[in-house]
Amino acid sequence: MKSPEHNLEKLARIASDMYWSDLPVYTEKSIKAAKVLLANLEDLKSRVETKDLSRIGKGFIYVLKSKARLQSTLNNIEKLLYGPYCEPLFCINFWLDIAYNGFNQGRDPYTWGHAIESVIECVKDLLDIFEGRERRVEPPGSFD
Amino acid sequence: MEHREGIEAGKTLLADLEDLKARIKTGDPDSTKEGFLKVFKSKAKFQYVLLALEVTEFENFARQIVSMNTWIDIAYNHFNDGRSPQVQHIAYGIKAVKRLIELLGEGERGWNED
Repeated sequence: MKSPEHNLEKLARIASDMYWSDLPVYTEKSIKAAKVLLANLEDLKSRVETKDLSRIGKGFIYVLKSKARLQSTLNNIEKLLYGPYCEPLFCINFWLDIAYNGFNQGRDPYTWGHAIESVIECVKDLLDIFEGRERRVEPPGSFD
Repeated sequence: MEHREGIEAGKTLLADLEDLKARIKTGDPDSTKEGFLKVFKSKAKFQYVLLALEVTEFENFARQIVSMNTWIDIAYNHFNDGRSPQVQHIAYGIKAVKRLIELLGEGERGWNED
């Protein structure tokens, strides 16, 4: 059995790699994960239209899980925070939280449903960067 | 809305992250899952308040928000993959939330001085 010190060292090394290594920020896995997230967001959009709270709640969980998967495929957090990926990632999380909070507060989807559309646009924007395409003119929620 | 409300929402998220850390240590998946859901709800509320405070357009806020989300998501993905989520990942998330609360505090002081 490995000692707790060994595990701590390993963890510190992983964290350090995440921050400082020369690993590329994203890989093929990230592109696949972003596409799964996109599909789950479209699924959530159609669930919202049903107004069935339980189905919508499940839809949010699928989205949260696939977003977590996408984030986990990204390396080198230092580069991530200061590279072109930061803004779309910020917007994805931001608009998703706005929608999720609206849902948790029991508000009418009319008031927060548009935020899901914004998340979709931001994921597409991130995919544009990953796949080397020209970015959309103005992704929603841009902070610059 | 005032910065104070942002600080309160940040502190709620902080408490839920600490609670999640304690749940992870128990090794009970159901309790951990519940802890993550509480964190997601309070994080969503926090972001909503940050939007109302119009601070998210500032890069120093935005980077901490990205950092917070990244670390929480990395921990959540570990959990979803059936691996034990690392308390250290949550600790990095906590660090980002603390920095956001500090930034809000700086804004509050500035606002009061005006």
